Amino acid sequence: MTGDFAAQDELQLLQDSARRVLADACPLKELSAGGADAVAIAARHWQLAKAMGWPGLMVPESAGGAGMGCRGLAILAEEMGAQFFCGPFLATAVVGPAIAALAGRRGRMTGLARAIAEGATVLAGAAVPAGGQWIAAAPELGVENDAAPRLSGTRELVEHPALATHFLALEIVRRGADRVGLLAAPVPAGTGVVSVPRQAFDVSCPIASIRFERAAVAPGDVLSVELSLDALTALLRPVHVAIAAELVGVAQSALDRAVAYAKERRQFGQPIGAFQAIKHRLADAFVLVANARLAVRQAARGDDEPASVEAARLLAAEAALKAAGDYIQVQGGMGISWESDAHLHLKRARRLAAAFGTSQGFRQALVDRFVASVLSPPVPPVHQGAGSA
Amino acid sequence: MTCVETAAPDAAPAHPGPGVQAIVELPDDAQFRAAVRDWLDRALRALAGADFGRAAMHEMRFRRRWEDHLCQAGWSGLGWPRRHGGKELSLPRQAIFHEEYARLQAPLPVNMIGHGIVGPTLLLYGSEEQKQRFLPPLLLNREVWCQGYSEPGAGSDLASLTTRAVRADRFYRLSGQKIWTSFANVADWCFVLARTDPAQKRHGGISVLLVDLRSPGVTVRPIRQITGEADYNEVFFDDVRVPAENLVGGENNGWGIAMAAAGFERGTYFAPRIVRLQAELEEFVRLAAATPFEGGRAVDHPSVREHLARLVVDVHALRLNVQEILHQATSGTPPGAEGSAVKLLWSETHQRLLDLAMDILGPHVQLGPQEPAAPREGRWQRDYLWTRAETILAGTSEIMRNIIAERALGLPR
Ligand SMILES: Cc1cc2nc3c(=O)[nH]c(=O)nc-3n(C[C@H](O)[C@H](O)[C@H](O)COP(=O)(O)OP(=O)(O)OC[C@H]3O[C@@H](n4cnc5c(N)ncnc54)[C@H](O)[C@@H]3O)c2cc1C
Repeated sequence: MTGDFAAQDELQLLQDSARRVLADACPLKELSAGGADAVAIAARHWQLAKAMGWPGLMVPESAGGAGMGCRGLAILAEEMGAQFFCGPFLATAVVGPAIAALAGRRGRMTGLARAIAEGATVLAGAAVPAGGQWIAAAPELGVENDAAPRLSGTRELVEHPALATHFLALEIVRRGADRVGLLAAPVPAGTGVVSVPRQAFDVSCPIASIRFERAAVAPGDVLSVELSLDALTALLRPVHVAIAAELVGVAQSALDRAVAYAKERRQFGQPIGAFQAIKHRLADAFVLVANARLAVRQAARGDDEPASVEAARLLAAEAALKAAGDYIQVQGGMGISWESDAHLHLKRARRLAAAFGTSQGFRQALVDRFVASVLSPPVPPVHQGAGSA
Repeated sequence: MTCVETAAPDAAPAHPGPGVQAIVELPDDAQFRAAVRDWLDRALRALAGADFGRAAMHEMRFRRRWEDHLCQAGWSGLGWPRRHGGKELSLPRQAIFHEEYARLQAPLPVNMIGHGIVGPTLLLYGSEEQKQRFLPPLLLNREVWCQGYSEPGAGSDLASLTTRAVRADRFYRLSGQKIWTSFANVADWCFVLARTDPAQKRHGGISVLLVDLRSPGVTVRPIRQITGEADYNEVFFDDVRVPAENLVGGENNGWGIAMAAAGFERGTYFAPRIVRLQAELEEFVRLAAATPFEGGRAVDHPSVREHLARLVVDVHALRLNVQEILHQATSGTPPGAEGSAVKLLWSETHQRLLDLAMDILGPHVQLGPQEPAAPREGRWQRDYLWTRAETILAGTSEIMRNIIAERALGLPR
């Protein structure tokens, strides 16, 4: 019980400090003024993140991190979403440590977690193959020579390439009905890595296509394993929690701003927020955002609730997309302008909603599991007592 | 009054196992839950006999028998203080009881107004005489209550009610009409909101009166509902004499009392509803697996699965909301608009679930809600129709959205 209170205090502290520094650094005004340099903003934000110790949030204390776990992650990521944090947090602080932990159990990538916590290694996630399918049908990345490995192939939609010291090449390939192959390697930026910038839909997040041309990887840094789909879901739980929490932050920001606008703007002699069509739209958004937050916190607690990760991703995406859409609608013509920050919400929501899986995929996984649990419930353990017939 | 259907209290059937008091005193919540589950299961099977699990179990006559049985065995006043005959169970334990009740798909209670509204109101606002008079029969379920708020001219705008109570010596003379009064046809007493001071507008000038439905001048006329059942009623008061000692909490204080009463079940109101919803969702999956549909099984149809996913997510969210509300109520956090949010989401989710069930029943929807040959003896049809009521009763969805917008978001009235 006391341990729980201590943890609660720690989480509260994390939230308060994050809220304070992120509010000061919030780039929305800059971005909506136009002409802002997203790379410069991200570089500034990343300095801030390092000063706060956020890269090591999920790195175990034994490797110099904070060992926070998913509950802290959910709180920080929600604040990041609400204040439009820019920078390679997801790849460096969430995906990186998860892969490093998996690799470490096989004696690989042994220094990665510590380098992340120290701020020496900054990762750009390189997980999306040319086909765009996050779990691919066939491999596209190739590694030659295990003693002095060299990696070749392409990855799309790599976020924050300019800040990366390493590109975390990641490939997940379907193997049969419920298993996947996973290949991962942190590839140093530089020789053999060609980065082609692309116009980003979410202007707060620069992207590039990356071509690895026999890029050198440190020996011992290549991980190749086969996992069950369930194990993959467990491995990625922090990633989904971070994405969903960030979506909740975006949703809350959109809702708050829409409500504030609806109280200010007057038409027909009254604030537009007094019109029931506006009220009901925003009431529905409120319910959705509240539900999404509860679902994310639940997924972060990781109780043995199988639906939790998918439900969190689904609700968070829906909440953010709806609230961002409502924000635009409530602003009328202003909502369509670049000058309004409403589009920044919609664009970030869209980008996050498609990261590491789609709503359609989560929905399918959720329903498959639910139907199976009803139609073929797990067999209760057979009673072994003496004398049972 | 006309039209009283009193069920004779049945001799309690035997239900072996620990008594209620022993269960209540179990130190551990998990043990408590297991014992409650076991007790309820045995008791309901014993009382229902061959009707266990059948539609007959959900008819008014059996509902009343079952509720009498429970209360007389000691399962009443769960949260009330001991000195008033209650069990003083913590909120989480009350929630456990209601959850287990729902999990068993036990018949819905009849006297929910009595146990959920009238008892707690009297404990808080009633005079000592009122407590002495009304609480003991309520604990034994000997008197059933109904709630006379809505009127033909005052529904969502309840504060516009016009039923009049005029003080004359040691009586109030009550005149007016109530409508949609659930259970008035089986109730003994009515918890009435009436205007005692017409000079005060709206929320002022309203009082709570406890009205004996057997008084001269009371007429109860059942109204047939879309399900074919007649559980709600018109109640006419034609110069009914109500003893002045049946005024609750002082004259013209009725609005505040009614609002407080609406919050009494905070923490435990939704827990059983969500458990039932979850059980119905599972029941739906079994139905869909057994229903041929568009060349396959309904459960495999992509459109059915899409809708099902939405329902699974919403039920999950509802469960988390209920935990949160229970947690807040237990730790004494004052209520916000979350009750309205849960009412809204619960009623609309339940409606979508039954919509989907009707979608997959195909031509079988033609079978009526009381047709024994229909799937689940017509319960899908019956519940489908009933879910239309849930977005209306206890505050319509539109009113819930207004409350959320005004109280949670601070938008102008
Ligand atoms: C099955 C059932 C059982 C009931 N049991 C009881 C009972 O035991 N005791 C009791 O007192 N009452 C009972 N009621 C009545 C219930 O509380 C009312 O029906 C409800 O409050 C709505 O009032 P109304 O029917 O007059 O509809 P109205 O208030 O006339 O509403 C009609 C429509 O207008 C909409 N509307 C009204 N005002 C607004 C607004 N401000 N903004 C937007 N839309 C609005 C409503 O949402 C609804 O869609 C019961 C109702 C049902 C269906």
